[in-house]
Order: sequence, then C-alpha cells, then structure tokens
Amino acid sequence: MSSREEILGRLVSLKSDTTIGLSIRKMSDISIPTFDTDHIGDPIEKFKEVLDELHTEVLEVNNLQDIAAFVLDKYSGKRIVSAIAIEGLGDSETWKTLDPHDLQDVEFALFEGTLGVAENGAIWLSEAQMGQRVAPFICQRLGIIVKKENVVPLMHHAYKALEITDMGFGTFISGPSKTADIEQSLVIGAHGSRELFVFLV
Amino acid sequence: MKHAELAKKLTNDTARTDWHNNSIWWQREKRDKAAFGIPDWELLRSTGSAIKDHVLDNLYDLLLEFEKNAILNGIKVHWAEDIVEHNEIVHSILAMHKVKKLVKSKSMLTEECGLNPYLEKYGIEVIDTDLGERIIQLRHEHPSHIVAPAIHLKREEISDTFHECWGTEKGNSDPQYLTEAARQSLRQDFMTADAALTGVNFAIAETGEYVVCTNEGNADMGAHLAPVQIACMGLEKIIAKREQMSVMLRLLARSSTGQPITAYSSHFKKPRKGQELHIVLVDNGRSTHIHKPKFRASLKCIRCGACMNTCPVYRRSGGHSYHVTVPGPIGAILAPNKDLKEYSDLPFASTLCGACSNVCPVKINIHEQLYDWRQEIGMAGHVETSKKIGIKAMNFVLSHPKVYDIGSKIGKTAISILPFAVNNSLNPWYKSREMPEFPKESFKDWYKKNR
Repeated sequence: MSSREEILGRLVSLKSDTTIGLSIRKMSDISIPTFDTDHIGDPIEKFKEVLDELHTEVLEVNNLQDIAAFVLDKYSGKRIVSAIAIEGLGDSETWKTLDPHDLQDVEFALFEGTLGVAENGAIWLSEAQMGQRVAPFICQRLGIIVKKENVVPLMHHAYKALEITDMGFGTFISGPSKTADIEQSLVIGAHGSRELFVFLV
Repeated sequence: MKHAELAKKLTNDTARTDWHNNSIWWQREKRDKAAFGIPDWELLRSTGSAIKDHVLDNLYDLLLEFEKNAILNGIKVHWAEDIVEHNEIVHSILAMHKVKKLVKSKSMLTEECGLNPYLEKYGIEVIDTDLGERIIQLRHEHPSHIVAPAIHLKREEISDTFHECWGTEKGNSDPQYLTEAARQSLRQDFMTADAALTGVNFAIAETGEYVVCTNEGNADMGAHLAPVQIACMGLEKIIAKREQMSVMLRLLARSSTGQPITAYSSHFKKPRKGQELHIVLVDNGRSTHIHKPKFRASLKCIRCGACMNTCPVYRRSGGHSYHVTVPGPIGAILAPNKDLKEYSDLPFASTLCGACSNVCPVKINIHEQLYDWRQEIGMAGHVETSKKIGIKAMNFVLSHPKVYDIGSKIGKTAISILPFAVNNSLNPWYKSREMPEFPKESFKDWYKKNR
C-alpha cells in the first residue's frame, strides 16, 4: 500500500471513532459570525493610521500624474518599473516577461492593489497586478496604489471581496519587509522592499 | 539529558535568565496590546477554535479535497508517512532537477525531519533564509523559539558569528548593520538557488492553495525566483474554506508578535509559468495522534508561539532545555505523542498555571493536557525516581495526620534552630529562592485556641 493509502486509511476511521466522544462537526456548525466594525471608525482614517504605525508612508494623490511626479523626483536615474501604464514612468510591459532574476536591480516598482484592509493595513495584490510574482518583493522600494473606495474595514470583508478573483498567486502586503530577529530590535528592510509608499486615490 | 538539567545552562547565569525572561515577556505584552485592540477578540478565538476542531473531525475529507484541488491547480502532491519518507521525497525532487543549492524559509516541520543534514549528506547546499534561522544555522545550533529562532542570543554573539562567517566589522553589533549584511549575503543566495522550499501556515481544502506568512519576505524571494518550489506541511495545517483565512490571519500575528498581520501573507495556488510546484503532506505520527481523545486538540496548533511567550517556565529555562523541535507548553504536549519515555520530563516542566491555555488563539486546553500527560507518564512508569520518592513521601505524610503534625513541629523547630538544614543546596526548593519564615504555631494550634 502507498503511504497515501496508509495515512488515509488511518484517518477514515475517525468518522466512526466513538472513543473521541464528540459528534463530528459539520461545515454548517462553524459559520463565521459578524464581527465588530465600530472599533475601526472611519476605515480610510484607520487604514492610514495603521500603515503609519507599520512604517509606511501614505500619500493622498489626485491622479496618476501626481504619482509619476513623486516617483521621478525621488528615483529618476535609477531603474523604475510600473505594472500600469503611466506617462513618464516608462515601460509598463516588457519587464513582465523577463527572467525574474533580471529584476534584481529595480529600485522602485509600482503596482495597483485590489483592496486595502483598515484593521491591519494589508493590501491585496494579485498575480495579474504584480506583472511578475517576484516584482513587489525584489524591488528596493515599493509603491502601491489603492483606491479609497476599495478600503474595507476587516479581513472578513477583504476575503468576501476577493471571492470573485481567480488567481495563481496573490498576497497581502502590509508595510516594508522587516525583522526583529536580532534581540528583538525592529529593523526595516530584511529581504523584501526597504520602503513602502501607499498612494491613496 | 532532561529539562531541569538542560535548563541550568540558562539558569546558572542569573543576569541572562532575567534578560531572557524580560525579552520573552515583552512579546507577551505586545500580544496583549494587539489582542485587546479588538473588542470581540474572544469571539475571534472561539471561531478560530471551531474552525480547527472541524478540521480534526473532517481531516480525511479535507485532505482529499485539498489534494484534488491542488492537482487541478497544477501542483504535484506527495504523501510522506514519516521523517524518512519526507526527506527522501524532497531529495528525489531536488535530485531530478540536479539542484545544488536550496533556499529554505522557516519550516518547523523540516526541522522536525532533520532535512538539512540529510540533504547536506548528498552534497546539496541548504541555506536557511529567515534571519533568525540563518543565524543559528551559521552557529550550528537549533531554534530555541518557533517564531524567533535566535531569541536566546545576544547581539554581540551574533556580531561575532557574522564577523567569522561573512567578515563583518568586528565588534559592530548594531542590528541595522548586521541585518543589512544578512540581506546582502542572502540576496546572492536567492539569485543563485536552484530550488526553494517553504513551510506552510495554512492549506485551504476548498481551493487547493496554501498560505505562507513572513515579515522578511524571504519565502517569496525564494519561491518566485527558483525554477522549482517545494512546500512541506503537516497534515493538520489544512483549513476547510478560504473565507476562514480571515479569522486565522487576524489571530496569528496578533498572538505571535503583537502585529496586526505579518508584512506578507502569500497565497500560492498555481506554479508560476515554467515553474514546478510540489507539496509534501507529512504524517509522522499525526494520524495516530488524532485518535487520542485527550490529546488530539494539540493538533489544532497554528504555531504562533504565544504559549511559550507567556510560560513562566519557558521564559526562565529557554527553548533549548526542551530538547525537542517545538519547545514550550505546546511542545511539551506534542512531544510525548512521539516518544513517551524520551519526553516524559516535558509535561513536568510547567507550573500548570494555565496562562498558556488563556492566550492560545485556537483555545487548546494546554495545561489540562500537561496534567493528563503526567498521569499517562506515571502509569507507564516513566516518572523520575527522585520525583516518585518525593510524591510517595508526600502521599504518606498527607494521609497520616499524626505524622503530619509531628513532622511540621520538627520542621518548625529545626528551621528556627538550624536554618541551614533547609537553606542549603541539597534542597532543590532553596535554589534561587529564600525559604519563607515559618509561623510560630501551626494553623491547627491556632484554630484550637481561637475557634
């Protein structure tokens, strides 16, 4: 017998195991309750507040041109990639099909997130929005655009909204990469981006 | 060696014990602040607990559902009966692709399986990429904490290690400087690895995807660059529905480090174009463990580490004293499932205060299981002789009131005349504490006079 069959063979008897002394819980027994959202207050304000605590700079902008101006002002002359076409920010397509290793010298990468979560500052990026899976991780500085109307209070709302999107990969990002593995001293910039800028439009 | 003996490495150094205790307690305080920021935290905990209870009851169906969906997603699914088979499977995948360098993100399971030394035997270079894990790998140590593997080390020690291995400036122990050195070194490893291996925080049956949480971004750096990706998980990491992730992610980081969520919570569903993606489902005793009515709930664990951060024994004895991969209260109830005799000391490394159960995000009755394991260990005859003699003597004294009376009188007199008779190093209770002053008369005498 294969290990698969051996393992499953030991588990199938759980269904009739009366020594456990419990009735087998069904899916219908564990529906997710409605959680408190009052403590969030205004989701956009909370989102900004949490991101600030997570060492992220939040910028409210009016349009994509504001973002381009901000990025060029800071990183002009260094390698910039953008997953969405913005005038002035250069190529938004060809880098997406490169070998992922070729992105190692990217200084700044810009993406548009699906939604933001007020309670923890997490922003969802789907594979399609990343252009390349490694892009939001390998860049030195990361920028994500979030539309104000897409900021939800809690994680439960986020997963509800994400139900419709099919994807091969997706991630919640909340802040720059960080570590506290040396005597619990917080250091920003572990392996991923050293800085996160969130552009609220 | 047993827990009490191993703990001496830390407890013999009082200043270091205090430092360890305080730094771990700080984690607990951060957890409290994060948890109490949510008014219905207890509702969240009970929901998380119910989700994992449901998993235990339905593991057979959920594993099949997960396997079916993962295969539909293009993932290759493997089943491993034990440590040996797990290591063989991983090696066979790496051998097939002629992998010379593997980058690994944190996985307590592969630690449990001793994967690194196994692969190194075959000449495969294994690089642990979580900073804490990299530190202890360079020092040839084991993790002392499941979330913060190098929490037992001081920055000066880490600085020395980096100086020896990477030539960083001698004596520079600035965490910022040391982390940057690790970033530069590990970037090279990410760029040159032939395969990446990650652990799994949650695997979702409904969609066949799995979720990996990190703060450093190391799991993603490895997985998205390497042509071959492997994820290893214990059977119990399954959850039924994707929407349940909302509950688990709200609980995990808050319980673990006091963060509202980790910097990255990555959902892997399909291999990237041109990449191969493997999942290894590991049993290693879990399918037997799950049949034990009193002990099965420990399989609900989501490895947040809150129980060790709160445990007065862990905080003062350190992770290495548990001589097992997962230390602390949860480790002490998981380990005896594997080997009752070898780990018979661990359920005694507790005051049974219950703090662990109170902070557990999935409400595992940890302290009750510690107590239950003690019964099992006693019945199996694995209690230490010194402990057995002590307990037998106590049983005798407490069940014979006359003996108790005489004994307490002798004790009181002895202490007042010869304090060193108890205040000496032969009395284990005297270690690290002063004996209390005994009252002049016993409660019984007082009661007779005053009733």
